[in-house]
Amino acid sequence: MLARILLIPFIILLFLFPLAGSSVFNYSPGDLNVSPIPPPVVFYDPNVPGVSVTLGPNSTSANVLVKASNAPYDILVNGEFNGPNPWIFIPGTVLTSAVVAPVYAGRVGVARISGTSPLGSNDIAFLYQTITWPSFPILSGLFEIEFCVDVAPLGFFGLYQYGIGYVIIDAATNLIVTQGGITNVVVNNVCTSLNWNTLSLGVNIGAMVPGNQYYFALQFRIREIFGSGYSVSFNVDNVSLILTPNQPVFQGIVLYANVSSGVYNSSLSLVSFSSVGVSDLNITLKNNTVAQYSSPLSIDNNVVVSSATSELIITPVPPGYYSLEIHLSSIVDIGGSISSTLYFIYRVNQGVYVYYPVNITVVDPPNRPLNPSAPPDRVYEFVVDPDPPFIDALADIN
Amino acid sequence: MRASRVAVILAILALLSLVGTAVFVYYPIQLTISPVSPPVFFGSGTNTNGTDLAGNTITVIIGPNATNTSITIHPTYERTYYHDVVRIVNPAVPGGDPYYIAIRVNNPLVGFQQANVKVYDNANNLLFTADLTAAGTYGWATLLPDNTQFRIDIELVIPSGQPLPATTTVTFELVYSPQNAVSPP
Repeated sequence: MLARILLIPFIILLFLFPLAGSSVFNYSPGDLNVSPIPPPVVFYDPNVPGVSVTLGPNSTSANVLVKASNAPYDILVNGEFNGPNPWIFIPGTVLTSAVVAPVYAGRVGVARISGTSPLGSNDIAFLYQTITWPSFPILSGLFEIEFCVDVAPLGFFGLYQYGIGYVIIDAATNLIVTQGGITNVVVNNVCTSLNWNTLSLGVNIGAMVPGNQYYFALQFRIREIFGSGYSVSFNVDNVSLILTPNQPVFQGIVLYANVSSGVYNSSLSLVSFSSVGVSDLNITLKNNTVAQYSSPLSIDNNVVVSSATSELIITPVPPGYYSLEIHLSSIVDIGGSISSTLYFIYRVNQGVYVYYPVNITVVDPPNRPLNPSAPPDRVYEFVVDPDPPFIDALADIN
Repeated sequence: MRASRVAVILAILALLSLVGTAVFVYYPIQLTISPVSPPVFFGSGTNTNGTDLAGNTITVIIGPNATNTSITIHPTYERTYYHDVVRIVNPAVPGGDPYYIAIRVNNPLVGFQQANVKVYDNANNLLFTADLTAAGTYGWATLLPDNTQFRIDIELVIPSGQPLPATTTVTFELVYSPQNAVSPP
């Protein structure tokens, strides 16, 4: 009996011993020092009419309300020649100078394409910029230009014909898709504030493919009919290519981002969206330093086609510039809207990722005025490109 | 007089009984302590000492024998995510055994909306999340197989609109054991 009594606790001990014996734990210490820093990337309001931007505290989040409109708008950049200059000059043999005059003949911001020909040679020159044709349906297109031509004979008398107009060239094929212009005959002329001309020409929008890139070129031609040489200056102000959409749309910049320190890969990613009616939403990032665009984040007819943009590298830029532009192109139904919840993501290598919340909502009118130009704070010189990729197509115009 | 005699006798008896119980028996026990190399330790991740925001560095100091680590990071407002900062290593050589692991937060962070350590396996599966804002033991008992490395990511959320929190330190421990029947004390 006594043996049994002693056996029971012994058996219990036998079970407990291996269990307790294996219960070894090791504790390897670690510490994490968290040293927060001010945000190296912050948002800015681009102050675009029709775009209401509410930045969050510390400018690390943004709510953007965009009023879509079916009012006509201008897709050219700096057609007033009083802001940052995307125009590139293709010189001729006589028309070899292109400058932006801050003030000329009563106008503010005038492009002056000029030259002197003692031999009275015929010549042609161009100013061009790259445009992206809207991805939404366009009802009509209108080319408008305000110009004045100074012509002075070098000899006693001269008779000249000048031409002015536009050429649109497919950036993929380098072939002309449509063009238009006028010619006039002059003896001589001195521009004043009173003798500027306005030219309006319809644009064959049927020749354009939605979403494609084109070169939009202004052409300036001079021909001596009679004389012994001339000095000429084409003075241009307020060039526009005005498109009228079929539906309420928006196309433009909705947000800026700036880097204060560091180099980052940035992108925009869709979290969710909701739509009233059928909507399109395309968002693209543009690195201003190298004029590089990301692939778009896109929703077509309420279907997500691409839920994120590709990445763009962003770096610090001098004061007055912005590291990144966020471009929006959107179509909504009349009375419709689309709301999107997004993350702006920037990263260092594959190591550190920062997520800023962004909400963008596009709503139907009230109508707004034409897209404004950049404020007239700077005047830039033209970039000269004597041999653009589409130079062969321009030779046909000669 | 008689009473005092009785008291003396009682006192002597009490002393005798006390001395009588002070007996000791000594059974020999031999404890052999044989330290081994750490079978589980900290290792470098792909972003150990990599570039942090604004030109700073993700500083990771892995101590002697890789049995402790000190990490310094520089997050900013909103959500900052650090990928593969440090690893938990169960090496192939010397051949070891699987271990059960956990992360214990001893001294939590304050001033952060969220602060998490996320442990991922080789296949990028999230195994567990340790909340650095609350003391506790997280992830017990996650199996760390032999010849395996787990990745540690760190995620912090600092709400905008408030002053940046001062530099803060959270202390934690990597706990491991060859068994999972008993939770770490």
